[in-house]
Amino acid sequence: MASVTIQNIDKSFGTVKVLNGVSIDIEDGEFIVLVGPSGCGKSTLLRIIAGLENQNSGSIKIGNNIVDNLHASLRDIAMVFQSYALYPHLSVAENISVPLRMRRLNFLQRFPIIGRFIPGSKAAKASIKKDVDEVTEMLGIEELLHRKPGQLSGGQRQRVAVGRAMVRHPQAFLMDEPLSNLDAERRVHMRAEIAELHRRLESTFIYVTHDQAEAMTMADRVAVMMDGDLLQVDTPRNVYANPVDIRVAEFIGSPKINILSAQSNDTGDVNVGDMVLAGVKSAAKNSKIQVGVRPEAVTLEPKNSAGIPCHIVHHENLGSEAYFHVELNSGERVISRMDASAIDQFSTGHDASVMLHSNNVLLFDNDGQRIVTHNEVVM
Amino acid sequence: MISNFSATQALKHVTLIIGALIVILPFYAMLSYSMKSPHEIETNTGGFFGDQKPMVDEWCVKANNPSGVLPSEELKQACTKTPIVFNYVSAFTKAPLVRYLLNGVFVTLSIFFIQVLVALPCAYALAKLKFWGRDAVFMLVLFCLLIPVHAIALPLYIMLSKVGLINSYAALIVPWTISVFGIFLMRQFFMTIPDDLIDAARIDGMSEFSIVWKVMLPCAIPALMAFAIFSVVAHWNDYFWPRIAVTSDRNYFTPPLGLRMFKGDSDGDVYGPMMATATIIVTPLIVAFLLAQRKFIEGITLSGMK
Amino acid sequence: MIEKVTKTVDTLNQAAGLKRAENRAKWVSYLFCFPAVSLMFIILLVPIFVAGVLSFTDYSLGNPDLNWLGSKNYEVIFGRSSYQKMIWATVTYVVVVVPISIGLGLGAAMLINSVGRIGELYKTIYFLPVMAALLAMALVWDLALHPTVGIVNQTLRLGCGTWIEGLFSFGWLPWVDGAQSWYSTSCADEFPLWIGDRDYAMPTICFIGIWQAFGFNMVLYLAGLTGVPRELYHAAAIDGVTNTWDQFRLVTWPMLGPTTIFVVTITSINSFKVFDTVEALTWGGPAKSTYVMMYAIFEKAVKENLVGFGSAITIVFLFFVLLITFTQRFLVEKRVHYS
Repeated sequence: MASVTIQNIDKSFGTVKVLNGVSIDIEDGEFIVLVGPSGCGKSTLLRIIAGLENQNSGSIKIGNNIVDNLHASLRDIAMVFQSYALYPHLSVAENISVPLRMRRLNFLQRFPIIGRFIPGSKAAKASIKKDVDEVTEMLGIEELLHRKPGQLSGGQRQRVAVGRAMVRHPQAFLMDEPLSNLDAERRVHMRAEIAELHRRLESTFIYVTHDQAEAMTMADRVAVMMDGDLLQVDTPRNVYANPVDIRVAEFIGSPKINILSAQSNDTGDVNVGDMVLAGVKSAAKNSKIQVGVRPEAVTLEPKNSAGIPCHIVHHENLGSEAYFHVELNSGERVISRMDASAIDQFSTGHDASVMLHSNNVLLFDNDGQRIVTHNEVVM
Repeated sequence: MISNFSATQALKHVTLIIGALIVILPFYAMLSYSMKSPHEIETNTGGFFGDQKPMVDEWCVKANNPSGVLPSEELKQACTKTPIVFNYVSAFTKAPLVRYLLNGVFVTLSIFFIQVLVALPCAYALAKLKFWGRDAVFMLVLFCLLIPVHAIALPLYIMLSKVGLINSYAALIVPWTISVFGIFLMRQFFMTIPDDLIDAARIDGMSEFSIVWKVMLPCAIPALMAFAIFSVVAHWNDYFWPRIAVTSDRNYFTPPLGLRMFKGDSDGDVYGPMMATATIIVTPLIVAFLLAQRKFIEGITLSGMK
Repeated sequence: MIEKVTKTVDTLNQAAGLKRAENRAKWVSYLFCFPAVSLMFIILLVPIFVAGVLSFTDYSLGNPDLNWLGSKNYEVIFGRSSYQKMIWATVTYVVVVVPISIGLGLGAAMLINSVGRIGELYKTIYFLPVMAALLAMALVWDLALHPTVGIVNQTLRLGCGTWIEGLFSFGWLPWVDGAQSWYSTSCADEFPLWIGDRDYAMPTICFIGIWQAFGFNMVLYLAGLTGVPRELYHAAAIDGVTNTWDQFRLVTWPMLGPTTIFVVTITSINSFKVFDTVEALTWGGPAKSTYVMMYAIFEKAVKENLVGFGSAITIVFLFFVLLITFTQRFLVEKRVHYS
């Protein structure tokens, strides 16, 4: 169990820069999820932490040790791969015992046949078996011990991969999209199981995924990455409610946050089209800005003068709630998420008015950086 | 770390280069010998290209001097050539090499076309049609896959000679007309083609014959290309079967048989022309290979798909 | 009511149409399979039967008499020393060429895989012998190995008395007496006749076989290596594998299992079929040291017209080849496919 400190990691493949000075402090026992679209550099970062890839500059510290020049096997971390990377020719028990065999048996003891006659190998093998049994019992895979990976289901393989990672009690667990090869139902189930495992082991988990649902449901803190930059590291709640960058706001949340172009005047009032956002003051005065508002903070009302006039283009009924796609006069599209009962009132092809809940409005400058708002003061 | 890395890397390259030299040695020797005079070959002098000092062509002198008395200076002059010209010209004049090469082209291409003609419809039927006995036919294919034709060359030779076909193009071609491997390969390939495509063709009014040749054949071009390379290389280079099937009639000699005739000739100094012939026989495939390496490696290792 | 009737008639018509189409498809299927199946019988199966029958006779071409010999031909093959030598020579060739050409192929593939883009160049070079007509290259080797004018012995001779002799006589190793080494004694006496020497003929034929075959094995292994998931190597690194040997044992070798089985089979069968080099260079000699089965079949049955006896060798040969393939099938199904 250890903290992991990532300092200023840079990495390029040829001329392509994939990581730009990424730094994260991960606390001992924390479950951190690196999330971002594919190609954002999150897997590369994980592999640099693991020692499978070398960074161009920057440094990784696990516990109190700088591990930059250490081989992957000496960093005392374990990894669960997307494809599970189980050795197909070895049984489940043998797969799980590989990390221990490599560490507790010497070169000669590992040798087939001859190994048996090297002193000390019997005791070492007994201790390995004990540890393997402990892990398989904990994961509930005792019946699978003698099967080959090819005979297991996706979920079972995933457990074996976790078992192989757990068996030597590493300082940290690295997981590279471990659920992406499972079907949707299984994934939801394993999500809970991994979170529970983390609570039980009290170990540091670094988990990579492109699935924001996994990030939001499992993480103590979420690290959002994009184009090689680390944009924000924060609790799931804050990443959603308080994104520091428009890209974070856009990545997290489904359906996607609505972005409207707006203008602030010299008092900090914000105009969206002809309408002034009530109770919102922008710190950036007299400039073109962008307004982000989550779909649940957008409501439709029958045509009135207070809201922004709009036309309902399409609506989707999800049973408990409904999404309304509306078009403003400016041509911008907005999605509103309301209770399904609203369908009785609003339907495709009709005109309505859009109301923005100003206490949930996020302002961004034209570069996508968050602008301080003073709406709390007004409220 | 860095220096260690490059040291092992250098060691790897040294190993690979030594291997490459051994692999290339005979090719180098073949080319070099094909350009040297008999004297240079015997004394191992002249470097790679030989000195190309004009030499007297003894065969030419003999041929134009039937009396056998001391040949005149003019005759010697007329028969003087540079070694490279002597070697390559002799390759074509001492034996009907052009005929051998054309035989080779004719035989390899005939084999390939007949193989496709026989295998493609069968593969299509096995992959896409349902009929009683299909599994039995496929089992037969799988079993025949185990029989190397070379191994049963003797009974084939006897059967062919019983019907009087030894020393003919038919003898060279017939045993190879059935490529069980080709059937197997094309069947596997056709299995991957969606049934919908064939149903669409049927709805468009195509007969099963036109489906094979107008729909399946174009789909199978990549696999067929690989198979073509596999087949052509094997039969252009084959020596064993032609050696048995063509015992005496030089008219049906394939290139390797023609080359073989140089060795064991009573004339001593035929190394130069022999190596020139070898170069001529080996060059077409080597050049084709260098031009389309990936295709060739794909084709030759095709048998690895089993 | 009327509606119902028309419907039934329609269905009947449709059914009849389908039936016709089905029948037609069936006949087309048989038509499509007929050439292939009949050729398989005539060219592949009947000859085995013919060879099987003739192997019990003293049949020869052009001779109307045919005597039933029972198992006498087989007794000769397994009983007379020159044919024991034949089996010995064939097995020696296979046992030498198969492991070495596979080992070299695997080694070359792994080296090439680890040197990056330039590996393509080595791959091209190593594959050249596979493309070249073996007979042509055998004749080149024959000339290169010629005892007096051959480039090999001439080059070796050049090294005598120079530092090259010093290097390759291994006298610089403390436990080796340089003067007694192969190189020094050959310098003092004479370099081998290679294919003319009964001690060197078989190794030389084997060498040419290996030279020709290992590029093919290399390419198959290269293909096999691309199929090894990179994540397995990463998993191994994290599991504590630090040296190349452990990596090979834990990941590479097991993952190449299917390739290896296939490579062993195809190389074995190709080695059993060795003919070109023997026919062109040694005629089975000296002293039958290179008298391999394919050459024996050719010599006995085609040249000497002892068809019955040649057929018996053919059957023994087929037995060997089928044994290998069935072993492969068995192994493939039992062990090396992991899914």
